[in-house]
Amino acid sequence: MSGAGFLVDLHRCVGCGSCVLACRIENGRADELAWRRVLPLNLKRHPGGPTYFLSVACHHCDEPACLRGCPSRAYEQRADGVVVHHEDRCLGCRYCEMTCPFGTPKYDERLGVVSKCHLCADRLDQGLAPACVAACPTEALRYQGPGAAIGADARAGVPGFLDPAGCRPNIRFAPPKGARRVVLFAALEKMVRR
Amino acid sequence: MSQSSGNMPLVWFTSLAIGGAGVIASSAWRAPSDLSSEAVGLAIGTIALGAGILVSLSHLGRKSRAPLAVGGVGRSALSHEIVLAGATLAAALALLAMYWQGAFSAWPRIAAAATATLFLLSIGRVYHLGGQRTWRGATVLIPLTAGLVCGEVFLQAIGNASIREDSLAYWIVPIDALVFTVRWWTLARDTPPLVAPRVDGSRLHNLSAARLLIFDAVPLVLLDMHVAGPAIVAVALGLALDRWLFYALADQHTTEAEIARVEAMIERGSRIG
Amino acid sequence: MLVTLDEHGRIARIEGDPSNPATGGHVCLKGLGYAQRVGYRDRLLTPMRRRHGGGGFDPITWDVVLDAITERLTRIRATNGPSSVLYYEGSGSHGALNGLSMAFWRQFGGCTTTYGDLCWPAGLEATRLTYGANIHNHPRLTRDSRFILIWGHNPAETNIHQWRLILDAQERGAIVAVVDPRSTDTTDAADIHLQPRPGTDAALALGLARIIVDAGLHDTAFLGAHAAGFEQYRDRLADYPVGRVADITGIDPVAIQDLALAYGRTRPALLIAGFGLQRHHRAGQTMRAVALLPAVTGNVGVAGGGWQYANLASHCLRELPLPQEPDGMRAIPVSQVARHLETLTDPPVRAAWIERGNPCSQNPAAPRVRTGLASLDLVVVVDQFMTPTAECADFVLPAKTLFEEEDLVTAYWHPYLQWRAKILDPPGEVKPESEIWRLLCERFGYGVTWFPVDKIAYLRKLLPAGHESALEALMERPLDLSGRGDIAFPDRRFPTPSGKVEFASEEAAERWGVGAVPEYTPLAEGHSSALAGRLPLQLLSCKTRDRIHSQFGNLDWVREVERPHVLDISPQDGSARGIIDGARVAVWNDRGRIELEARVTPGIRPGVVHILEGWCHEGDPDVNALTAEGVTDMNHGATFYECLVNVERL
Repeated sequence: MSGAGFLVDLHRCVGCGSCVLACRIENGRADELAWRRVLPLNLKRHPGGPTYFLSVACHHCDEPACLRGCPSRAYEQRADGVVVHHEDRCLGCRYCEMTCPFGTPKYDERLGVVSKCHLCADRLDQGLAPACVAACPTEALRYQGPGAAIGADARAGVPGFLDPAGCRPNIRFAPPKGARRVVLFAALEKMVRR
Repeated sequence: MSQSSGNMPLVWFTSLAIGGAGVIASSAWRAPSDLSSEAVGLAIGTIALGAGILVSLSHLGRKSRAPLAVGGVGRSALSHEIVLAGATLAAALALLAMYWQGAFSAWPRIAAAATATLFLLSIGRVYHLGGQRTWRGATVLIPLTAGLVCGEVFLQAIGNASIREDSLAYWIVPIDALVFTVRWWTLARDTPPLVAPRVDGSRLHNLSAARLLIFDAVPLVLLDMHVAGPAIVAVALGLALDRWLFYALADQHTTEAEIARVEAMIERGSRIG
Repeated sequence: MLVTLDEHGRIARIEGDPSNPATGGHVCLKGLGYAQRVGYRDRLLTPMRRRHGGGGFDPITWDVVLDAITERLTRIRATNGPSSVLYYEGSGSHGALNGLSMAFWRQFGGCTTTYGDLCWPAGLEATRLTYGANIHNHPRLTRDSRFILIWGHNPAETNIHQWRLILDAQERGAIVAVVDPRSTDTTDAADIHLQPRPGTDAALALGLARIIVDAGLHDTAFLGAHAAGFEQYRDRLADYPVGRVADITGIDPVAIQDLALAYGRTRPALLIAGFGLQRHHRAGQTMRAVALLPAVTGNVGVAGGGWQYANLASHCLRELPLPQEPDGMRAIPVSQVARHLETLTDPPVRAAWIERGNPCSQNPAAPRVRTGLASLDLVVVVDQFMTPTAECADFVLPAKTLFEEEDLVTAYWHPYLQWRAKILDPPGEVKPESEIWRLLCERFGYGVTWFPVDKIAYLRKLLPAGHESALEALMERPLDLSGRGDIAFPDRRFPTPSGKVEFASEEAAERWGVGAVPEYTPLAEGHSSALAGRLPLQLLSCKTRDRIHSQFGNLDWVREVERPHVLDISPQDGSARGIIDGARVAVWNDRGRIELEARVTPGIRPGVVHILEGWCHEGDPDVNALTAEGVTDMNHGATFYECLVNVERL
């Protein structure tokens, strides 16, 4: 993982949504669309597969589609890889909503611009973890600095998360554990790859 | 991508832009012979393209910042499209002014035609996105072929000429029909099944057949019968249908969609196993 | 929690308190939810009076409302006596100052209160009878376990700080086993998951013990020195061979065998039981049966081992100084409020004051609580929002949130006493309850010396003897004033009558009329009862992480991330009734009927259905329309999970 980003531990995430609320509080987004969302996979607990949760916000990709496509150059990528959206250059054309294959940028009808997670760049600059990471009660959501070494088992893609557009998102997933879920996960990975 | 109701401004904008630029291109590519037709084409095309640009402005969240949209030239396909839209409009107006003054030099005419043609291509490029499974491949060419079909049919209709008298129209309609059919066939073949919210299975086939009929077949027949007005109406309706179908087939990749796909696999896999 | 305010005095950040050794700087969804809750658009900011005739409430002033309440209470007491007023307090907000309400009621001449508890009392008593005290190892020792058996408990949702520690232990190689009829976020991560029929856990526990003892895995040294009545217990085990236990519980006998041997062989092993295990008539005996397993294997008084249910070590504060208790005090079981509203005489209940609780949603037979209140001459509810209980009131008084009054707070999973600082002024016309009671006392002309003028000085005096100077330190960090170490019962001395772990308890027999040695008794409204022929499904109504019961669920932020209020039903039970996923269904029994959406989920055990409890908004299922006003076999708890229903497609 070359740029700054997130590691989601699928074993430890219980889908509580604390990260979503912490992001709202930190960024003053009480009533707007949340920048982060927690997506369950197989919440009905079908025995044919594992159950886990994907907490996703912005992946600060190495090749960000939002940045490449933006007609007014409202996106900028820092040296550490954080992709920042400058609201004052945004036309509200919503092209980035189309180009991003992850559903990250969110348009606000009231403000007429889009917005997205900026990895709490201000907090990073003060040596603090992003608000979502700090709030995670099971320590499932982690911040990975640029070039950070991560566990050998951490994957760039898991069933439910894909990079269809070559954006090289800076998110990694530690696989779920537990004697029962490990087997289900391995079978699902195989089925999805086929 | 926003829900379908938010697509309507895009459908209007791209229909007007493609139709207008197509008419401009067709008008400019012809060495002026039937001047009144070509001038009318340039004028109507300019109005249509201008209206399309206004509609696209209305779609912006911050309209006053529209001029910033040229900032992405060199990187953003959307910037290129916007710049080419403006250039096409300007070139068409300049050409009209020249014709009005009786100047018919070739290079400005060809430059205008090329600009309009490049603009049509650039529209296709804007929607060629990694996260949009159903917008790839042949579909990139359709704004170009459909625009030229509009242009040729329009000029034939107002010039009251039959189809065989102009070789470009003779080819461009079948080419457009072929390109569209290739796209239709690719979509139908794709597995897993489409998850586009408003168009699936038989609806895709019905609407695609309707588009071919209304846009490619009917105008040719009407032109052959020298029924000009309805031919233009048919091609306009057909274009709008083509654009509506294009946006309705949007299959934006999101993580939510990917998860739904995997969950469906889990349930199917368990039924078999 | 550490709360940061912005320059306008609004909450800008909520973080965990790193000086709390149990939570280690972590916070949870509810803690974060306070950022929206404190200033939420629906928060009550003035007293409200019900409109005559039509629906709805109008804002009124404190003067008007206190005069009106005074007048009516006086009249009701004159006609029916003081105990015709029901004073109901829930557990919705904790703090030592909550006890100040009695400064009014005792001077009023008394009232009717409740005894028992809806949550945990049977388990508390079972633990006390077995080990002598409700204490357990420090949470941080969870990481040292090699085997963690989680029983009737869903820590991934209901104790997320504990769950983090369990995950840490699992990462270090511990095996996690869970006994739960449902599949939950906890069972997803488990290495072993057993799904017994609800109410059969006593049989399972005794069956596991039988296998452990037969395999010679019991700790004979420990039992020889520290067990009382083990021989009687051992005789009882003869009634629980694995075949019988498998029949009763519906679990595969091989799975029972495997769990017993794994638990018996792996040391140290920790057994964590939840409140869910004791929400039926046989709660106490069931909890005793399960609680004895750590003692059977000698996993008591060791790091990484033990029995964990509740830790009352922080409950060390002194009693509040209060007026003397008058003759007019009376108490009813808290799980039978509806029945007593309907039938109590001499005197009947004519008025109710409800604070820090939501019985019209949360109590068994909640619809009958609502109709019971509707027939009263006066209902006063103190709350932050218009809950279903507040909707039944004549007067609603706006309640504070935890940031708006200082207090001392105890815990029930760790030994830390905590200082709750006042960081916000109560907004609008909100007054803390302590202030409401003082004003009411003034109206009645009662003494108000019981109410603190200087709350900090007052609270200092509540600290245990010798610890009065700890208040300043408490303001900096939570403190353990119990004087105990991290390990519970390290010297294996138990404050029971015998000084040992009581496998046979005479006190249990005398006090509660139950068997001295725990046994399995089928539930009266259980899977093997006659009623099950007509109502074959056992309904569980469990707690979700998204709320604290019915609190927080009204917030937009929580509604965005919450799990749906649906009926979980197995594919077998669903297809037998023609129910597909997402269909509307009716759930009914002899007590009531509700309608909601079904979710067909293979994760739940056939024969069991589930609906989340905690009614927060219009359209939520009123699950307590179906539950019974039962009382547990010991210590006056509730029987929410002993509930047979049937389901039909609509």
